[in-house]
Amino acid sequence: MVVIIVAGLLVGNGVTPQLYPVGKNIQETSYHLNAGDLRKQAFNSSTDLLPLMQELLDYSGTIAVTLRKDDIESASHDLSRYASRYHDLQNLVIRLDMNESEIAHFSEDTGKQKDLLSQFVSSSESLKSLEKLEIQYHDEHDPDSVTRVRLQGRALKNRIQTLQNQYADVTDSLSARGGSLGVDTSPVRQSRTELDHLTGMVAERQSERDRYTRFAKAGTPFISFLPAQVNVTFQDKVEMYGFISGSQEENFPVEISIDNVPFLKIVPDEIGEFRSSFKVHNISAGDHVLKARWGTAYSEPSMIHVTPLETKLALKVLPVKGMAAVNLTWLLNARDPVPAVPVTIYQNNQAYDTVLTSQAGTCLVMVPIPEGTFDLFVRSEDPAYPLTPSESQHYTVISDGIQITSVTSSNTSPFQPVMLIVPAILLFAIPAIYFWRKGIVGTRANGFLEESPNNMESNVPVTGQNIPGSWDGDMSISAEAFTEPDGSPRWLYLDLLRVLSGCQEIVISPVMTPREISESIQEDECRTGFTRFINWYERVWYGGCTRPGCTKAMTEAAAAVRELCKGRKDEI
Amino acid sequence: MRYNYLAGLMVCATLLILGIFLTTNSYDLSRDNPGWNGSSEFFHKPDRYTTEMIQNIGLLKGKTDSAFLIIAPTGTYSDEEINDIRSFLHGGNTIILADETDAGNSLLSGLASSIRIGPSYLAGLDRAYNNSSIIVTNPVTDHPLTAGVESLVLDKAKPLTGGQAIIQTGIMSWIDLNSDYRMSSGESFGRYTVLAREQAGDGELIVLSDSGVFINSMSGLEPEWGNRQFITNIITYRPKLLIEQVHSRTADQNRFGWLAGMVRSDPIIKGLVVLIALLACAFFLRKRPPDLSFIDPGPVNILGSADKYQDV
Repeated sequence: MVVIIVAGLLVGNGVTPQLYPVGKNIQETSYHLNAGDLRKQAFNSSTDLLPLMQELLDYSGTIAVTLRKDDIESASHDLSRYASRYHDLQNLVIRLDMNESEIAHFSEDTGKQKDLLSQFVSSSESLKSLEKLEIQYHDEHDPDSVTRVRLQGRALKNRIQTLQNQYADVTDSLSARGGSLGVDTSPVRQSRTELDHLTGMVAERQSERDRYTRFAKAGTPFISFLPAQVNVTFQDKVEMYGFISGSQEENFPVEISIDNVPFLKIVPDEIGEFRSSFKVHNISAGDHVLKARWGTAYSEPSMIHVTPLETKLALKVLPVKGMAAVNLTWLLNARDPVPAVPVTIYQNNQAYDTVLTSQAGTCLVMVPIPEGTFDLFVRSEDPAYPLTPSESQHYTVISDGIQITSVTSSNTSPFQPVMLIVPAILLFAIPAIYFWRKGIVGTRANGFLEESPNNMESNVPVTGQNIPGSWDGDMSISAEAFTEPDGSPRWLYLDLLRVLSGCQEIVISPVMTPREISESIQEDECRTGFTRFINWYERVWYGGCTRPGCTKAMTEAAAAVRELCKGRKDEI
Repeated sequence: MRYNYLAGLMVCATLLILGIFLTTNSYDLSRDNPGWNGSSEFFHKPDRYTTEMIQNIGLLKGKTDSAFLIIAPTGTYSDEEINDIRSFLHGGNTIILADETDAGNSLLSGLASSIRIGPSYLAGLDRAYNNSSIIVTNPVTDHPLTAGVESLVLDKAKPLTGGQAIIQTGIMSWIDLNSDYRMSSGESFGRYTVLAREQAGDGELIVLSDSGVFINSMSGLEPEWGNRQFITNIITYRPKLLIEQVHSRTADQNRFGWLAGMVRSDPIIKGLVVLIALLACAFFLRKRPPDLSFIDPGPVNILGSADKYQDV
């Protein structure tokens, strides 16, 4: 047993649990998450997708672009993907993956500068809508540190203007010098033309985009809003997500209203996202309009459909000792106990009082009862809640004005004896039939032995029921003896039992083992002979010895038992 | 007799389970940890004839044409160890460091590398599962380590700076400064390097900013991700693979694990243990005379005829 317990504990310890608490269903260490747990989760469920989609649609935060000195094309590709996906690019971080000396070389390379400026132009509406530019680069002597140069507002515009002017100056200068020296400067002029063309083209494309995209103007306040569940019932949770964009004079909170009645205020976070939830409680059944408002901006209305939930009301009325009053306790259930819902007490069909249920859905109220007979019950029927009306059972309360003399429930039915008798009969009948069929009760073996043909072959006189305390027992064994072939080990054993019960005056119970039977034999010689027989019998019967010698020894031992054990009967 | 066999079987099963239980652990990244955060599956993959566990950094001396794999080191390397590793590196070998902690930065600093591991984890919209920390990255430069690898899924990786980028995140990735797995104020989209290389003398230093590719839960990724191929590429990158077992968290083990490791590694102790086990088996399975006492209940004088069968 100890081994089993230890093995069980070790196996249990070693097996990974298949179920985890809801609050922590993904195993995690300081460094890693269990991807195996994540694989079990549904990817892209609506709950997961909603905020992700909001992020993609409404994101107007910072975009970071890493520029490596030999990989301008990659940065260009990244920026074009950003530009195609996002409507508004306000902040740009140029992360120069170079040290200062490389930056110095870079600044002298007009071709690469042109490329860099092209990135600016193609991704930020000619830099006019760009509000912040941050350039990060590594210190040549300290790779761990990152130097950040932030340009914002007027400084940013000045810097951009300077860059453009510098580029124009450089190209003009190169063209002039090249021309004076007779060098072909067309590539430089071409690059300048390309840049101007690119600037104009991107600006044109941006204005086109503005016409179709409501997010384009950063100043216009906008609010998006989406409830996660639209078909709900009592106590269901409704998740709400949304984003605000643009600017307003004040920092308004987001106000959520249902049917134009505000009921919740949410403060958006720093990037304009807001999220919250509420439980359906005192919202009537039917369709309702949910809307979000942020200052002057209103979201598109969203509909939710509330379905009523079926309720059950259980009432118990108990008299108050020594008073003409009763205590009413009830439980309002609708899938779960229903908290904070009004329940009305009725006395002879007249509303007596209305009480809210507790958080556990219960209530305890003492109602004084004047002299007379009253019908008491409670009912829940407020249409302001998405719950079906329900009524408790009725109680008839009789009071003599001093104390309560009788409380009777309408649900109390007269005692049904059948309800008790039928299970009782079944309870006793089934075991009785079982034992009767097994022959444990109701049959005496001696009766059978009298009829047994084997009996005639025995040398032992049949005394049967006349012998007090004789084998009175096992019909199954007797029946077995009848079916066993003559001379078989089992037949010999059962036959000896019959001999013993008849001659030795011992009571042989069906549950006794051969050893116990042997010990109960009083005569030493008979007991010794029977023990010897048992030794051979057990070896032959249980397959310990299959040789003919053993069988023969057993038969001889049986014959000896018959011989040795008949003495007592003779004495009797 | 049947009960004896059953009991013996249960004792053997219990001893087996006990042995497994005592020689395994749940330490993060441990090679003896068969759980999701262990690295037992990875340590079954290398070819035993071309792979060597480095229990002492001094053993790196004289090694050639080898890759030295350092997974998740802890603590600090001594100056002597750093010198040995630097000599190994500059001697034309390769060091592959997979780590996301400051211990990795300390080693990189000691090796005078320009590559650094950033302080915060990466997150991204290009994710393999329903968590932005399980990001999908892609090779951006041809390199033998990325041969046949179109994408690599990482489990809480950090951004690398410096060196030549080999694998980078998608552009919809950000450094999750506040560890909320979401884009927040101050966090910006961008492409970040997670595998970088650097030439050092005649050798090559490769840094992967996530040791998670070696844990068991990542080895069960779908074939569409190139993690398995990437691991194979690491194992076969150089003719010989040396795996650091001095500071690496993969070498963490409990006392019994240490004992088992010692037995496994020392042929003499291993032989002694096998001998003792065989002797114990022989003792318990020795042939014993059958217990026939129950057959002989004592002298019986009456039935002399049956006595001749007493010894049958």
